[in-house]
Amino acid sequence: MKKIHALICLSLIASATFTACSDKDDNEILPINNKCLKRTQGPNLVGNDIYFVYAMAMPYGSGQLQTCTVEASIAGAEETWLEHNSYHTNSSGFDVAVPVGEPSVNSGARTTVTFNTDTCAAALRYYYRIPEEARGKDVSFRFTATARDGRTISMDMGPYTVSRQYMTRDITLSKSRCYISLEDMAAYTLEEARNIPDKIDLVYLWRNKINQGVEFGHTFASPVADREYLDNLEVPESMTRDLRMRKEWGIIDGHLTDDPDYGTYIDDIDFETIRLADMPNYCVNMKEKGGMWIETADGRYRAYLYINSLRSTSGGVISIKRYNM
Amino acid sequence: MKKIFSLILISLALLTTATACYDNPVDDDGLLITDRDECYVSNFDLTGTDHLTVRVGDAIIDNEACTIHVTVAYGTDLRHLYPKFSLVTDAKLEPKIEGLTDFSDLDNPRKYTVVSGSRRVRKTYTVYVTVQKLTSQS
Repeated sequence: MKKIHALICLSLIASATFTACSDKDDNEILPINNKCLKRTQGPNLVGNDIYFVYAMAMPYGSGQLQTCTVEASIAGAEETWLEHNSYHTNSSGFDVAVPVGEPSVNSGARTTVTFNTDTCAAALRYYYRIPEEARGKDVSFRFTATARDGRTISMDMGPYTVSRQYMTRDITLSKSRCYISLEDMAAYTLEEARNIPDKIDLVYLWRNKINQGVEFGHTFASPVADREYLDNLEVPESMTRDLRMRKEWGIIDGHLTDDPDYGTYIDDIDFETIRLADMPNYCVNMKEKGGMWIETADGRYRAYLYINSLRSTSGGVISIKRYNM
Repeated sequence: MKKIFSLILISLALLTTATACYDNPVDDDGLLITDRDECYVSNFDLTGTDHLTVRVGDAIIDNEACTIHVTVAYGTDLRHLYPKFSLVTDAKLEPKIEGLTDFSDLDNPRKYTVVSGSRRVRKTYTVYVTVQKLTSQS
């Protein structure tokens, strides 16, 4: 009898132990996990994207994702989108896209992807095209993942300050298209410039003066610079704007250059702190990948003009960042 | 054995004292004052705001007359230049170069004094800058 009791007791203890060791509760609601990375570097410029990767996942078998939504504090421009592909990296190191949902839909400041595959995990890329309304303001984002059973999780990102800079890339200069406006961030021909003389801040010219013993090359000058630096370029008297210029080399801005991302950028504070007092109003013999800080004489604008490429004779391509003072 | 230990300890103490007494004089700038009396400029350059040289040809340094003649490229802005001196070992320059320097007053060329490592010899150099001019077309 004692033996039977002992056996029953042992069985009960063993049973209790096994029950206690099992922590699985079939009714337990497991949370969704999420992480977000901001991938873009440098100042946030109007017209450029702020690019994020948002990853969301729940344990395998615990449910499926239904939607992913991003809400910005300031509605993005219409080019804003959330990619409906999730990515994995193949053995060659390339990202391979796997469609997991319907193309994103923008509604006001919200961008949503609805999943159309059974998946418990995805990493979606979000591209927020910075609108003009955001210039100089802070913008922040809320990323939200929702499961089919209603579970939801969110992550806040930001705030990020949107730069006050204006940028125009790849302005083509030539022998005739050589009248440059910082206000319009464009280059004009003489005929066009005659109609807007009050907008022409500098002129470009190329001269070969090797046979006169000097290197003149690609030169930028204010319309009212010493005639020596304008050579015989026709500059109407109605063009009276003056400026100060500081020659630079080695400032390769990640937004302005065509080269692989250098990870260096001209930020608003650079425009605010650069000292250009007493600088000349011309820069002679400029080189490709060089540039110049510019300040208009009326103090209205500061700018950085980057030289993307130059021809061996007249012409080239420039890009400009401008900051309204 | 005890005697040997005592001897070693006394030797170490003496060595420490001797080292501590050795004088390494420094000047007001914290630079070492040495025995060198050599005092001259070995090289000279001028760079623009872009930190690229504006010099055309070599600078002509006369260490007897204490003059430096340098020609700079056409269009160089003389008001904003960085002078760069190479000096003999241990020498230093006065005044110090602390940023962009104005060389535009050609009638009153800038003067820099080289001070030898011993600080006993001082030589003042005058920097004459000439800007390349357009020559008549050939």
